[in-house]
Amino acid sequence: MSSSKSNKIVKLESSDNKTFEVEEAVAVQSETLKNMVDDGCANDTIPLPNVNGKILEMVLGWCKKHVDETVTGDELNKYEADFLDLDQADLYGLLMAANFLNVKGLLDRVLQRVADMIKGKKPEEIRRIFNIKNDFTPEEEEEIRLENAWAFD
Amino acid sequence: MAIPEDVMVQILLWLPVVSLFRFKCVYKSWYALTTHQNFIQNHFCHNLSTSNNNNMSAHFLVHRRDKATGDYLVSSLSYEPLQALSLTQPLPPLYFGIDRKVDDFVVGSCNGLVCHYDSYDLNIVLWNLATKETKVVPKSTLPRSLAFFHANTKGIGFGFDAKTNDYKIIKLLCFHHPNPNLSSFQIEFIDQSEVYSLRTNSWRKVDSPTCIIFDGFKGTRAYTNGLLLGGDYVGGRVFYRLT
Repeated sequence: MSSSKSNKIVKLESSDNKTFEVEEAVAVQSETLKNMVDDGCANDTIPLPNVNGKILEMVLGWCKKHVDETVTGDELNKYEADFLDLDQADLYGLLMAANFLNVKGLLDRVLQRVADMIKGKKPEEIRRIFNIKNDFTPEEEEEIRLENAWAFD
Repeated sequence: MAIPEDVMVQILLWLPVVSLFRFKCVYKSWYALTTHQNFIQNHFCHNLSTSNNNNMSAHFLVHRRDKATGDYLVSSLSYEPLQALSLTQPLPPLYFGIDRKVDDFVVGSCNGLVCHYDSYDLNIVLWNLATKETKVVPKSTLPRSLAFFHANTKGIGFGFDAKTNDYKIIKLLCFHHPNPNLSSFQIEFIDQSEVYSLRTNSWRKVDSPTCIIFDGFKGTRAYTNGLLLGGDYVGGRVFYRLT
């Protein structure tokens, strides 16, 4: 008995207790939510303790746009480009949400955006951005840099 | 921002090769990851599948000789639009003090690996254009079937064997009797074939095809999907199925 074509509503609650109601067709753009719907666990409000209201609203906006059949290809491209014009904090929140909710198209775009932002940076800057502790000795690091000197031009 | 490792790996897949090499020294975990064969393979496949969308999958490799310096140079051009993608770069400085009259041939290129061969010292070299790494292929020490004859390399081909996930080079040898009066034939046979595997870094003999090489045009070609094309003789072309 398929309910996927019906106007079934899925209820979601963000980490800061905001509730959202969306059509099932929108919600199942997320593989995570789709699995819950298929397993029959989506009848009550689904709590999402690792996604805040602001980010969840953005993700659901993306999902809605991608099931809207009136949107043209060009409009969608422009929407996606504008969508990713975010500050670092929001981009990070979006990355974690898209990964957790497994919204494939969105996750790929966010990954690409993050990669584009960091690709030209120096190793020290990368460590700062991602809170990484350098566990190479200065001699080891220097050796790796020399081996790959061409990448630092 | 602290990002879980599985997400971080996904970000790294979207980075260009030059960034990956620069970030090797960020910390040990990234060094181990980016030098691991599985990651390298995934990164390559990911690159292929995403660049197709941007219509940049076709590249030309241009191999030429600088008139003034005599240096061999390599550039890559994109197919659409036709423009230089990377700066012209000289071949790796592997041969010092070699006569400029030496010929160097690009045997073929596959997945960004270029195979070339010089007619002086009969070296075969593999060159990764993206990472600048080079490897001089060890010379074959396989016994020759006609020991006292002169062996000439009559054809070389290079390609990727998808079945074994390995790069292979095939060399076709034919033999001349040392007495020049006995060797004037229009048609020559390939007497011994050898295949090099990058994975094992060694050569092995393979059965020679029963074929005759006729006139064609000079040059050796790269390869697709298990089929190696080689031929550098008065310009023959020999097709080999690799397995």
